[in-house]
Amino acid sequence: MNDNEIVQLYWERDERAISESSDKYGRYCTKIAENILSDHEDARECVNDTWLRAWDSMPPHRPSLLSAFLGKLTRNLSLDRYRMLHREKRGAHNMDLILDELEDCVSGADTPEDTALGNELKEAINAFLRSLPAQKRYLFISRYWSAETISGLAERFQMSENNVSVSLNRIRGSLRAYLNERGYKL
Amino acid sequence: MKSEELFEVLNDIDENEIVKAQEYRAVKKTSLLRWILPAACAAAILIIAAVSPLVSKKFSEDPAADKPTPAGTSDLSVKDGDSSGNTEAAAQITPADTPVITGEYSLPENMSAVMPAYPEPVAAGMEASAFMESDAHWNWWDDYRTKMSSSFGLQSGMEHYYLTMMDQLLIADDENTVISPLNTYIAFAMLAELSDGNTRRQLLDLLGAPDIETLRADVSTLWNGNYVDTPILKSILANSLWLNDTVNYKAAALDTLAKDYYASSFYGDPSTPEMSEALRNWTDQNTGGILGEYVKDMELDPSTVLSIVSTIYYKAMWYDEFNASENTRESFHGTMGDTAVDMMHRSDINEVYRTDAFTAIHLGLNDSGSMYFFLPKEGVDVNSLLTDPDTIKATRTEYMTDDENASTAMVNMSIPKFSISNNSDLTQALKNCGISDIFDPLSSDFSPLTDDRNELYVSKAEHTALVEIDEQGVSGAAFTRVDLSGGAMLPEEEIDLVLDRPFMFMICGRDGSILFAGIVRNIT
Repeated sequence: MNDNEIVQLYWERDERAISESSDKYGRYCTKIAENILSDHEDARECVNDTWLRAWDSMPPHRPSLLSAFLGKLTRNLSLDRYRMLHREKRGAHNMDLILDELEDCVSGADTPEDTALGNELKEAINAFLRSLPAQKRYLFISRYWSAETISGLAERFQMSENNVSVSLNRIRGSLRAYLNERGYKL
Repeated sequence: MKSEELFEVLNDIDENEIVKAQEYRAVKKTSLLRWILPAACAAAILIIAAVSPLVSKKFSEDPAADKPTPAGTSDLSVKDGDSSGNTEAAAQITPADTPVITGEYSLPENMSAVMPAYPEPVAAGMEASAFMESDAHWNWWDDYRTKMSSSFGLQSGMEHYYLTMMDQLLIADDENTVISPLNTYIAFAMLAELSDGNTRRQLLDLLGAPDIETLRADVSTLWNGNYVDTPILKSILANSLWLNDTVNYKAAALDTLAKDYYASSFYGDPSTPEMSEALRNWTDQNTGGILGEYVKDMELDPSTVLSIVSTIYYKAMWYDEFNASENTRESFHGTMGDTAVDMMHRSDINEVYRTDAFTAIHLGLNDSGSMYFFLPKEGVDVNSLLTDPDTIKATRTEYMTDDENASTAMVNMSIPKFSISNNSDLTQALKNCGISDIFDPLSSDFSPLTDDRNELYVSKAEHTALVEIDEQGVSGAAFTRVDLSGGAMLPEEEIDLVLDRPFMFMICGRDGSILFAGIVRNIT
C-alpha cells in the first residue's frame, strides 16, 4: 500500500491504517527508538504509541513524507521516555553520549520559550546543514536525528570510528560558530 | 539551552535531507583514490581578443615605463624573458610565500610578465580520500563556506545576465552549444575596468552593476567563491592581459586588474610567433589542456594593443558515481537523427523540478554545486527553455523548499555520456545586448587603458567552452555499497528520466554561480 493510501485510511478513521503503518514502517521506527532508548521493550512501546499518536494527528495532518512524519513522532516519544527513565545522571548509553556531544553547541542555561525565535533557529540550522558537504550533512543527521551509533555510522560511511567522532566534533564546532555569528546564543 | 532541547529542535531538520541521510551509502574509498581522471570536466576560454588601434601606434621611448612593477607590492612578480635565448618557467620567479599557480610555461626572451599570486593549492599532493577525512578539508571548508556565502548573495542579481547570455549564445538548430556564463561575466568586467564613459556604462548595464566599484567588489567575491584547488575539486579561474610592449599603458588600470582580478600581464611584440605561442601555452595550461583543438588556432594580430584572455577549468567528481558496468548502448534521438550512445544509469532519490515545459533533476558534485539536467516535455523545443525563468528557479530548489514545482522522488535516470564543445563569436551577442561603443573606434572610450582613446575598438570577441561527463573515476573500480536496512523510507513516487533526446544542462558552483550551461542536441 502506498503512503497516500495509508494516510487516507487515517483520514477515514479506518483502523487498518495502524496495521499498514506498522507493516511498512515498524522496523524503521523501532530502529530510531532503539537508538535513543537502547532497550528493545521500551522501543517497542514507543513505536506502538507512535501509531496512536499518528491516529490522533491525521486528520488534520496530511504528511507529504509519511516515513519522516512517523519517524519524528517516534523520535519525540522516545525522547520523552528517555527523559523519564534517565532523570538521574547520564550513563554510557548511546543517547547519553549524543546529549553529551550536543553539549558542545549549547550553554546549558535555561532559555525562555519563544516560538518565533524557535522557528528562526530551526531555519538557521537547516541552512547550516545545506551549506555542509553532503557526506558531512548526512553524517550529522544520522547521528543527531536518527541517533545512530558511532560504530554503525563508521560502517555505513566507510570511515573509522575515530574519524566519525572527529568529523562530528568539527561539525558541532562549525554549527556553534555558525549560530553564534547569526546571534543565536544557545 | 540544554542539549536535550537542542536534540528536540533538530526534530525539524528538512525531511528530504532526513530521507537522503538514511539512504546514504558510502562507496568504497577506492573510487576516490582512483580519481585521477576527471569525472566531470569542463573548461572555457573567453577572448576579448583585441582592443586594436585603427591606425598605427605611437611608440614610446621606454615602453615598459608604465608597467606595474613588484616594487612595493608583495603580491605581484615580474618575469623577463631570458636574453640568452633560453626560455624559463615564469612561475619560478615568484616570491616563495606567494606562489602563482597559473602553470609553468615558457616565456620567450623578448617578453616580460607581471603576475599576481594566486591562492595556493590546498593539501597539494594529498590523495583525495585522505584529504576528505583530514583536518585540512575542514579548515579549507570553513574558509570556503565563508567566501561562498558572500558569493551566494550575489546570485539573484546575476540571473538576468545568465539568462541573457544563455539566450544569446545557446540557441541553435542542430549544433551543440555550451558556454560558461561566469567566465564571460568576469571577462566583460575586466573590459569594463579598461573603459570609461558610455562605453563602460553599456558594459555595466549588461552586467547588472550600478558602478565599477560595485562590479569590482562583486567579481572579487565571485572569484573567491568559485576558486577552488583541492585534491577533490578543481575550479580554477585565471585571467591574463596580452600587451604590446610598444604601447604606453596606464599603470592604475593594470594594477587594478592584477590585484582585484588576478590578471597576469604579458608584454611583448604581438607580431612575433613567440608571443602567440606564449598565449597558446598559457591558455592551454589554464584550461587543463582539454581545449587544444581550439587553442592551437589562437594567434595575436600584429596590430593588437590588448588581448584579454579569461579562463575557467573545472573538474569535479559526482557525489555518487555511475557504475560503468551498468552502462547500456542506447539510441539518442538527436535533431539530426538517431545515434548510438553509452547511456549511464542510476536510481536515486532526487529533487525533481517539474513544469509544463520540462522536468529537471540535479546530480551533486563533491564539494561543489550540482549539474542540472533539463529534459523538455515531448513537443517542447529545447531552445524555449532558455527564456523560461523556471530554468533558473530549478537550480535554486535546494533553497526553495516551498516551490510547488519541486518535489522528491525516486528517479531512475539514464544519462548519456557526452563531450560537447563549441566556439561562439560574441560580437553579435554583445551588440544584441546593447553593447555598441566598444566596437566603434569613434565612440569607444578605453582611456583607463591608454591615452590612445580615440583609436581603440574591440576587433574580436569569442568564447570557447567544453563540457564532458562520464563515469571516469568509477569505471573498473572495485567499489561496493554497504547494504543496510532503510529501504522502507523510499519516497512513494518513482519516475523515469531518460535523456535520449535533446536536453539542456547547467553546472552550478556551490554558491549558485552558473559555471557552464549548454544544450546537447546530437551526440556522435
